[in-house]
Amino acid sequence: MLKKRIIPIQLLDGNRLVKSVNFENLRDVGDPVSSTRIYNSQYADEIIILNISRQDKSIAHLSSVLTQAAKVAFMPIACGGGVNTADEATELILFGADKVVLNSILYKQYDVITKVANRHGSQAVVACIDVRLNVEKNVYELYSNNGLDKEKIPLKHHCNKLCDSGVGEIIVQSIDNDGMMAGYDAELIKLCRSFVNVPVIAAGGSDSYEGLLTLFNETDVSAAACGSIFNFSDSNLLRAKSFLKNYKVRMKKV
Amino acid sequence: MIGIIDCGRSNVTSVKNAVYEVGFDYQLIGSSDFEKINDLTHLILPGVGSFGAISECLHKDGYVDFIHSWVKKNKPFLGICLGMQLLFDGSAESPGVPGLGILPGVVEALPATDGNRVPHVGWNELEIIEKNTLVSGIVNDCDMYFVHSYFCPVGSYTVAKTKYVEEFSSILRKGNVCGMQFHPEKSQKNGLRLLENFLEI
Repeated sequence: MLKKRIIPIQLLDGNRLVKSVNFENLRDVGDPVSSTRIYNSQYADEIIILNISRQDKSIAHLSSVLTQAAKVAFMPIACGGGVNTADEATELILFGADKVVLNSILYKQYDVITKVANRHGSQAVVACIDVRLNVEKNVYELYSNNGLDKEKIPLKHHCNKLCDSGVGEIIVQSIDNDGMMAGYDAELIKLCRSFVNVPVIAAGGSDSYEGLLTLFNETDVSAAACGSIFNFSDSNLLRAKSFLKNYKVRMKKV
Repeated sequence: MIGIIDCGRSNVTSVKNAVYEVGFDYQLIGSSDFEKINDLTHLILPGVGSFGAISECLHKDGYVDFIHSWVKKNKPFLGICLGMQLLFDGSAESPGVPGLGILPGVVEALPATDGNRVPHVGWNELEIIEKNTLVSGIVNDCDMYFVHSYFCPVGSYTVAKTKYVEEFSSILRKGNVCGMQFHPEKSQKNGLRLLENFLEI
């Protein structure tokens, strides 16, 4: 039986890792390679490395960090940020990524998914969706370009397009909950899960072991992506998994 | 020195990193490198891609004879993922395309069911059914990282099996020919231990 996954999410800005609050106010949280080494020693199920820099979105820079991280990460690596073409995705895979994360480009070209899936298999293509709740209209709205540009397409329509194009997994990230350390947006996750038949990874809002348990109990997500919980609290992956296992969440046995 | 077959179609980066991590040096073996074989003690065939494409490449570039003569000398050989599937006669993925034919039988397709999507991607358990030096120090039920849509049926060479819709061979061994359906290089402590066990054969 497949296991639920806890995935540390590492946001890259230049040569450093940062953590955001609502996609703003970046705080330095360390070195990408040292951090990857620690997550590897704590048996993370996977790691996500995203280049969120607003200055250097080059694949060359991301590849150079990835090459170093891949030497200390003996687990699957998902990597993205600024990937616009299938060739760029291939480059990341050759430098050690197992999965490539696509985001802003998808609002213009869904066929990048199909091209990458044809070359490397659908499991190698992950779409990340950044979402804000429009409180007045009570509707979820999608954003691209690091949360700066609002997209017109409705969430459901976008989800369907991703699946039709052959995406392997979807990261659903709540911009409202990002860095707030107040729990995941379970309603958003449930909604997305109802639109798609591929594994969903929840992101935005990791706060505590109880918060992870709530997420796994209330939704059928495949994985929780975690930033703040491991950056800003006393929590660590080993304890998170011990805690969840006690509550019968299926975690991998090491 | 460990040889890693690199026919230019697969990503060998993670296998290289893992071999190095467990304390061995490696040499990539391209189609013009067969003379380097004298320095080699172990051979690894990593595999990502489709059975047909990689098989064609192995046949066209002369790898098949090289691998067969290696195996005939009873030297240690490890096929990872597609590399393990290629040990068989053929695969449902590419009907009519011959594999290496080192193990008898044909690789089958995993059927998708409600709630069990194909490809089978993620951490899943090993059930060890044969005590073997290859799995020494590996506890039963520990999880490995799988990514595949086709499977090798359980047979007399199966050392460990895994269930995802179907039961299939996740580790197999015949003499010094070994196969792993999951990615040991991506399966952390236990995966690296398996790789180390192989490299110490």
